[in-house]
Amino acid sequence: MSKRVGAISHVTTPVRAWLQGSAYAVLLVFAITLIVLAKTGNPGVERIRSAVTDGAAPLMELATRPVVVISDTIETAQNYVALKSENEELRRQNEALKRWQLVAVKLEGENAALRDVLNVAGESKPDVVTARIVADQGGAFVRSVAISAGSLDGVRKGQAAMTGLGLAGRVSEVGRHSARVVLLTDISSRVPVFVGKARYRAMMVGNNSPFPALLYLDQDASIIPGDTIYTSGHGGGFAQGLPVGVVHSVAEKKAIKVRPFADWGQIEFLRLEDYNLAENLDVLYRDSGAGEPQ
Amino acid sequence: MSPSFWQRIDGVARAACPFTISLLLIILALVPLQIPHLATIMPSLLLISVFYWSLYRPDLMPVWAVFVLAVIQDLLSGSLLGVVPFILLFFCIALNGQRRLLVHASFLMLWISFSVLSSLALALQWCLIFILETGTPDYRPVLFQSLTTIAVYPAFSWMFVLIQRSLLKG
Repeated sequence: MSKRVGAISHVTTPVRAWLQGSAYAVLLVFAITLIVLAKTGNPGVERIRSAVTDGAAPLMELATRPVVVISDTIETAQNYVALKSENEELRRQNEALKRWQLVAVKLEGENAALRDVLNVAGESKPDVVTARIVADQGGAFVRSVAISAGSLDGVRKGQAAMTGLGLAGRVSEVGRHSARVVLLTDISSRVPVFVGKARYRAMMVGNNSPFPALLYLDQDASIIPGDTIYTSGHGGGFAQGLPVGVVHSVAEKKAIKVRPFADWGQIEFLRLEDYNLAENLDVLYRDSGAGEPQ
Repeated sequence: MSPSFWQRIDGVARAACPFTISLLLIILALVPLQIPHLATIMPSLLLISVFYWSLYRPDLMPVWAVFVLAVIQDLLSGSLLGVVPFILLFFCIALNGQRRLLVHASFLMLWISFSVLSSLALALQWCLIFILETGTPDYRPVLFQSLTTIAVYPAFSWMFVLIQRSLLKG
């Protein structure tokens, strides 16, 4: 009997080993195919991704709820403890802001008068959707978040995602109830920007660190830490003038780091702003006789 | 309904346990915890789960299940699709190569082996991202994620031992 079993296993073991080995080979080919499809921007990959995020979003929202309650409670407690010192700080800030408000009102009037003189076309007000973040940045390799609003809420691909302080990222995929926002710090993020008062043109490029880099800057551009950075609107991706960040450090070899205004540790909600730029682009493409933009 | 039907359902539910737990861990790791900067160094719970279950219950965590889990992880985390499946397949091949040594190894030996394998997996993932994306990805979050993953391994493997003893006897 034992001889029989031995004889069978003599045959089955290599077969099983071969099957297992070929399973690895088949799955490896599968994985490589997926990478190629994703890298070439296959629309099917995007559809599957947004469908899966859509499916998981309600579950994630549910899981987020206790966290929100706990963090709100902690925040309230902290607020009570720091009430007095915070009050003084706020009063001081309020005075400073009042002074700035006077300056802003004066400049606004001046700006309006100058626009009138120059006959500048009126700027469009954006359509705004606010959404909660339901899935955080997934580990060390990617800087993107999923939000709880999708095409049914008016979210569209390419919209600017803002925090209260400044630009946070760009909507990359849209499902029905959820969407994905690639943050400025992601390695795939590219944002055309203006730097400083002289409005030097540059490209802000993410590298998964908290400080994206400025590339393709003019050779003779003089940039110092503290220069503000805002979107240039080139390429039609974003509206012009959205606040992005400040120059954090200027090292040798022209390695310039940017500290975005958005506080990555604290974002809970994102505001999605739509300036209907995509439609403008569509019109542009149609009028020029070219095909639809990809 | 015959009791055998429910027994079968029960059996399937128990057998699906490692897969379900891994899936829940993927989702759990993505929940925004409102703790500043934790998300970027969040331990890779999937690596721990795959290591444990494919070592002790390879029948309940076959390689195709690992593949499916990895694809879901990529889809939900928003990273480039196919990278994590690719990495985890090599992780499983390396793990299978050491299976005989590891199945009866002491806890410390397991922990050390996991540390080496998971660090290699994350390093390989960094290399893949470096090849596939333009620019050099920051290595520091990867280093920290590797450390946090190694640090939480004992807690999760203890939890898995409890689950295996209570739900997957025999």
